[in-house]
Amino acid sequence: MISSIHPKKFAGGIHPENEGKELSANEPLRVPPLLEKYTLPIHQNIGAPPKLIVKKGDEVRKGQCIAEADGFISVPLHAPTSGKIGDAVEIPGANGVAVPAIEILSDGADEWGACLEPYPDWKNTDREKLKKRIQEAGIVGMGGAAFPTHAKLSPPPEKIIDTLIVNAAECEPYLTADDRLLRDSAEKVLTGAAIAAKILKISRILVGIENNKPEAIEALSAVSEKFSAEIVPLHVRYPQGGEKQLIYALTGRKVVAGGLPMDVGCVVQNVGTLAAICEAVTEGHPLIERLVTVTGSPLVRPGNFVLRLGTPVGKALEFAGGVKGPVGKLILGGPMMGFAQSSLEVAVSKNTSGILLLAPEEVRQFEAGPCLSCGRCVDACPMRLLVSTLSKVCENERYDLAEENYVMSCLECGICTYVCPAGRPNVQHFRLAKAEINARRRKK
Amino acid sequence: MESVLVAVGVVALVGLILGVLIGFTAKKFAVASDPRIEQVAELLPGANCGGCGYAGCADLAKAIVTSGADPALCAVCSAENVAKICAVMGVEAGTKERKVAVVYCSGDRSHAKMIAQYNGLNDCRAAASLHGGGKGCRFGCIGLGSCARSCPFGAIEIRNGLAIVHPETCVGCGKCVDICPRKLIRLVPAESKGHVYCNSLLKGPQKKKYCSIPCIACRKCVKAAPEVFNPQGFLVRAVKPELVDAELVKSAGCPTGALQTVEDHLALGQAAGKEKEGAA
Repeated sequence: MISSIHPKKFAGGIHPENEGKELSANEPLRVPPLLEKYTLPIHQNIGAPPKLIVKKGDEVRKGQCIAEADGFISVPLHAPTSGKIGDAVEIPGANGVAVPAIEILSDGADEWGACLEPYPDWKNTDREKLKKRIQEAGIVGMGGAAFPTHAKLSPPPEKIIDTLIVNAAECEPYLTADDRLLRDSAEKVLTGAAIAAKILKISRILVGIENNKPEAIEALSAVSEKFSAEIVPLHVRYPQGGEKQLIYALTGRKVVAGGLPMDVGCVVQNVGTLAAICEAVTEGHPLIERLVTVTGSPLVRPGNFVLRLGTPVGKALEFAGGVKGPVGKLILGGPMMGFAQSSLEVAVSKNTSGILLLAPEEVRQFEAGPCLSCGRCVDACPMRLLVSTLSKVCENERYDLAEENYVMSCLECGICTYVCPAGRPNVQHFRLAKAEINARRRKK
Repeated sequence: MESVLVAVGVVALVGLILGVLIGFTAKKFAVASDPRIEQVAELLPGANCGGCGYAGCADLAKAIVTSGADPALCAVCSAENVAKICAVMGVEAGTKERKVAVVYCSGDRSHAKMIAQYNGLNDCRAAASLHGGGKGCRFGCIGLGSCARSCPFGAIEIRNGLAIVHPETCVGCGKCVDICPRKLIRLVPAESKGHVYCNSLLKGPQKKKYCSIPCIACRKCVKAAPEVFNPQGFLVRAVKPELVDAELVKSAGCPTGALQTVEDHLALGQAAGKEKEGAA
């Protein structure tokens, strides 16, 4: 049902001039043919990298665990198809830095191996069992953070959680994978939400979705009664899907600097993650594929694809019909938070939400100039940070002052860089500042 | 007239009383400070580079006198001054080896292949986490000059996208070693005459994909002088860099040119730069 909640407007934010969602949103979901070779990056989650348990030449089945979780903040990794384990290689990661990966040479049979035992009767299954299943299935936050989901669903007992927020905002321009998922399988998402709610022992499920997705809202409301989920259509405003922004819009609660959503009684889960939870619990399938938006004006047939993990970006572009015109930039993720790429070898991983090609006329190259103190970044920052000051102190490597000015609260949404008339690489400044501050903290 | 005399008298009296009071408190509450701290501080270079790990030269002087820090800890201090500090402290002066920094890379713009156009923050640490600044080699010098900016002595020059250390200016404080995200700067004895200027651990053909001047571990130099060079995997390092003179470089016959004398390395790219200047 559509909720009667009147969503609050979070501070700052922007409305990007070109949303670009029409390129891919209305195309039906496509399942590309099996590839001969997948290159699976091993470390796809935040936390400890999983430990490889296979070696070259081993036969694996689809869904077989090939790397085991190493600790609580870690998840295992599964083979995307059946075949042979190939070489251990290094491929560029999303940010261009080489990461270890393992090749899987497909045998073409694509046969499921011994699966996890499905729990069709999950309503009467033990909570711990369900939580364990979520870890076994290798599920991480698929909105982009890649934080292990089972850890997010294990708040310490002193935190009282009362609301599960389903993040269907999909505020990044160009990306429509969540939209497509909701249009096609809203029930799966809400089943996943119900499982997560059961684990958290709560009953209130709020679905935050931007009102530029009427079809998805309709699909959701058709099944929401069954799950007693409330659907809240939100204003179109980037970054509406930021965890803290979404919590504020839906509940009016504010997470203090350095705090977590669980401090205000909320747990936020992306729709892709919830669909993966549903599959893992009801069918026993681990996370081996995900919805990816492959889009951009230079592509022949942009759309949404079910891509196996480890699919090289170059192959994904082929699935979308290839390139018809000159390309200015290839971005993994959305245009605001994504990373520009220098190689087609980058592989789809658990947190890849989109692959975006921009035409040369859509890309601007500029030299960073001195700060004009115009204050546009301060107006637009959704975290209410003093971006202009921060940018200058970071430029002068005064990371102590940056810490005092709450640089650690920066969510790296990219708005300050987007609105800056001087073309200053603010987000990169803050990323470096955060890395340096974290390094100093570790030293102490 | 009388009122003036009264005023003078009062001021004089107050002055006298306060003077006695200040004198008394100065004696009573005096903090004994070691005169040696000042002496040592004067002998230290006063550049406050922080290379010793203390907050500055004054802090190091205090540490040397009060908590027994090594008098030779300052890398910048001349041997003569170290001897003087030792004399002040009354300890035996040890021999101090002068060290200089070296950047193990020759991949400037004319040798290293770029795989991406990097248009971001002008800082190696930031670039290291984003396509390594665009150079294909992920072990080599990024060339955005974080080390040059961190050097308190201006000993590092960024020439044609490569950091080059001027050994005559370098004092071996080690600041650049700490800041380099690629960890390719090391401190070596100042008498070093040549090095294998490469840091890549990849196999030869893979290195050649991104660089025209890598060490491909052919081991010709090892055969020429086994006591000087030590192969470590797919990379050869000069373990006795003080023996690598022009003659040895010539006889070793490095096929890529990664083995260079310090002078040759310093001249790297200079000719190209001059040509450009001439053209401009």
